[in-house]
Amino acid sequence: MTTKVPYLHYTPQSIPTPELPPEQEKKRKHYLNHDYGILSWLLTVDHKRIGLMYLVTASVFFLFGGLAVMLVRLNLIVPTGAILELDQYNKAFTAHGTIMIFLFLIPVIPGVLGNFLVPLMVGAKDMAFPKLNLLSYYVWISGALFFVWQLTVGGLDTGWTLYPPYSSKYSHTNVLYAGLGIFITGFASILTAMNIIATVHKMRCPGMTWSRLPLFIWAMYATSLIQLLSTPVLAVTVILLATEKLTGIGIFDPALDGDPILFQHMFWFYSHPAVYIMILPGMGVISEVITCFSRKNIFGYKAVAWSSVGIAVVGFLVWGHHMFLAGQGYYLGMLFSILTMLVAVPSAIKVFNWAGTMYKGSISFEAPMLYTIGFLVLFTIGGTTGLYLGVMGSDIHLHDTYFVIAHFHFTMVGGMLMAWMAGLHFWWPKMTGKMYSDFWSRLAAVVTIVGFIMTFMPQFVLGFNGMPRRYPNYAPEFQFLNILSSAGASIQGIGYVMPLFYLTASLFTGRKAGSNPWQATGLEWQTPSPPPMHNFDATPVVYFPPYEYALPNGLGMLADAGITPGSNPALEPAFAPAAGQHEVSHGS
Amino acid sequence: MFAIEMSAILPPQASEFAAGYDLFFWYITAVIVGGAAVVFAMLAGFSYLYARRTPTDKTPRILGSTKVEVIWTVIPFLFFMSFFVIGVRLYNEQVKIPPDAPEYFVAGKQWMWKMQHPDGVREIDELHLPICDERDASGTLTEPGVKITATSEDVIHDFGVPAFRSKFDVVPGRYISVGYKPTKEGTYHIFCDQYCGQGHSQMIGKLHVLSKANYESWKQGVYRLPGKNPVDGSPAWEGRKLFLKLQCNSCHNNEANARAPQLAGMYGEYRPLEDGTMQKFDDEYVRRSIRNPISQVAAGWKTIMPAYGSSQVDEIELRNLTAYIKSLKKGERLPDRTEMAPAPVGAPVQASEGNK
Repeated sequence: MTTKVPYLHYTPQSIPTPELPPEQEKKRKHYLNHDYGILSWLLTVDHKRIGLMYLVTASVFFLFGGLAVMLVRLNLIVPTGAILELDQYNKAFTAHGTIMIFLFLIPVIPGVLGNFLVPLMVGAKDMAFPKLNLLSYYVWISGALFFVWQLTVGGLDTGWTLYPPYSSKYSHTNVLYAGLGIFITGFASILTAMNIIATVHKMRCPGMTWSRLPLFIWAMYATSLIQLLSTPVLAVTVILLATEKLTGIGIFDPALDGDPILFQHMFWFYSHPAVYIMILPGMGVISEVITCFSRKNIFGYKAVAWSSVGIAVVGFLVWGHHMFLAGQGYYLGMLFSILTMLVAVPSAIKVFNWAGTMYKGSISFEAPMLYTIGFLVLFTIGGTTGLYLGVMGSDIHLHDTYFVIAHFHFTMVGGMLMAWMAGLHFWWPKMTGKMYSDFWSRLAAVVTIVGFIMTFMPQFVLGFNGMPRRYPNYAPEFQFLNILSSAGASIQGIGYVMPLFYLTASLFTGRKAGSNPWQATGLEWQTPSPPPMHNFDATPVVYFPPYEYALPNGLGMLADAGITPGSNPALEPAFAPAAGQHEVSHGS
Repeated sequence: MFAIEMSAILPPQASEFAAGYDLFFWYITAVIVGGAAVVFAMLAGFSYLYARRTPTDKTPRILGSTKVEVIWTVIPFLFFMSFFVIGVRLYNEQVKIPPDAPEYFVAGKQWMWKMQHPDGVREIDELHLPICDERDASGTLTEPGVKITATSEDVIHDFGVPAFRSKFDVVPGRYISVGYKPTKEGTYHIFCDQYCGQGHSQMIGKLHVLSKANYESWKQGVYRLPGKNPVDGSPAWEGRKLFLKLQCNSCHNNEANARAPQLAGMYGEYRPLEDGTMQKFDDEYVRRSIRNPISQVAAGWKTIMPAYGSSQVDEIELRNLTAYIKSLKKGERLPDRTEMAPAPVGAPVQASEGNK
């Protein structure tokens, strides 16, 4: 009966989502089986397949970046360096930084979850520009190939920050290839961002108003704005660096009458917003997961949504806090410091609102929720330790020490990576139609989080004691804490490898997930798993705000909206309370 | 020789600034531990209290609470602002240096630290400093401490002394200064904190804080320039020698038709440039005028001065030239055009010394 209301956005849990009988389900065509063959993947314009391609490639790069850091942590077991020469160490940590940032953290959530989910969540058939979407994948891959190539022909030893004059004049490694890689992957970022912005603006299904957008969409939207506006500055910076290196025109090198601080300004104008490019999508994921597993509306939808936008805007104005000690001047430093304090506020709001969402919920602790709780704990530590670094006085001592390393790993790994794992585990059943092992996935979450804390907590102490970053050799009194950290890193490594096994196994042996295994409300759960080729069999219509987990009776709510069981809401978009604001779905 | 203090839990507190810094550090720590405790208590408490009992648990429809949200926006904001205000004051303490503090010069170079004391004594990778221990009745230090000015010969380095909680980037092409008031005798780490290439982790040194008496006796033991003539070895004296050696005096001299501007008594004054702006005659200006003279030509003069790159004049030499120019009081005479650098001690005496 009620199943005649198939695509009612945010179906309250009391309305079961339609399931086909098993024999029909077997024959059902979806995006994975409608076409086979390598070309059907490589030339696809389906956002879901492109998302999966990003998933595979980004995971490979994550493993590469992880291998590089294993060398780093192994080397640091002994104060004089256990396995690597000085040069090799410098190349290893640079490989870790560049791969993790440019080839994993920045593209992974927009590339995988953004691609896969944005059209599904707004009720569209595909991205606004499906071919551009495929192009951006290949642009990204070709940029990534420059990184891989430069690794095989000798590596790069400048650190991911590429500060001149070291990078422009003194380093004899592959700065130009890496620069080209950064330049090209930047364009992929820009293209993806454009596509997502256009999709959110123009492709929302009837009734999907801005105030009904899932918070993941808000976060992706804010992220895309940052990517679109800041990435060109990085491209310009890299071009200037290459110009100086190739032609000897003085831009950054003081010996050529250039200004090395100018590079830092330009670099951080991109790279500080870039940390929000990395973390904001993760925050979006957290909002989706925590509501679902607490069965609650998000606490303060507007605050969470607008704090994403606030972070995106103010995040553009704080880059100078990386340069308090670089000679940028006292008053400039003050300005950047106070803006940094301001940008910390929206992050604090979000954390409190997420915790508040759990209040009086009905909380279950499957893997996505465990990763989410891990996120909240670790991101709280990562965010608050950032305050030491954003304050001029306390940054003096901690600048460029392991304190900084610990801080940004707490935000980037403890925050972003936990969110990515939460998201991957949350939407894996939707992507593949299969459930993974509950036991192994929970265990992996716990192992990862414990290993993480053991790795990075000692680094705060090391940093406070003054151990500088990027040191292959260090003073002997730091050895104990370094060993502890390396031990934690190996535990953490196990936690990251485990999903590789049980997720792969789930493809073959996992039980069918059904369309909505978590009883979630989002539009993406109102279509079968894996979704059909064009996402929805009919254009969905949205009547409610997101996260209506608490409604005691969905039917009562429907009656309030003037819909009775049996009527077809797809024909009654006028009943949408916010009719008139909605957009017509693409190509329907 | 003192051993470096082997503690990796709390670093030694060896300067006036370090004590203030640590107070601030623990203040921030207390606040954020408190804040984090609230979040963790919420997470743990809600996880315990509201764990799912049955699959059909009913949950209340709570959309938020403006009152609560305002509270957890405003309280963190106020704390953050207090961090900002105290932080700015603390930073100010490091960069505002008493004008009478003796100046030590540090030049970073891949991968070593070259130091020069105010009286010209030089060291590599080590720096000896006298302690500050004269206090007035209220316990406030009455000494100015020392001023450290640094620049780099090549890439960006960073001069960090964890025991002083002090650190600053050493940037090629510009001078950056900080002040130290060492209060505890001992030997402490100097680390390069800004990645500078292969030997970054070997660009380390030791900073020795000595009692005043020990500092003086240490200096007595330092190898001084030998020679018949008494030399004071000060940076200005070294600078004068260099001034002659580089033949700066063939243009910068006292003759009426000298080809370059007078230098005596200029330091600290403003002078007009060819482009019509006024420029303060300070360290940075002297530095630029030697490295790249055409960039800021004094009004009325031709652009004839050659540029002196770091292969001709390294950073310490440049600093000594600056010290010499700085030492020239108004009315003091520059060396005559014909004056030559003294032959090095031990050089063979030639029959026709001096003129060609």
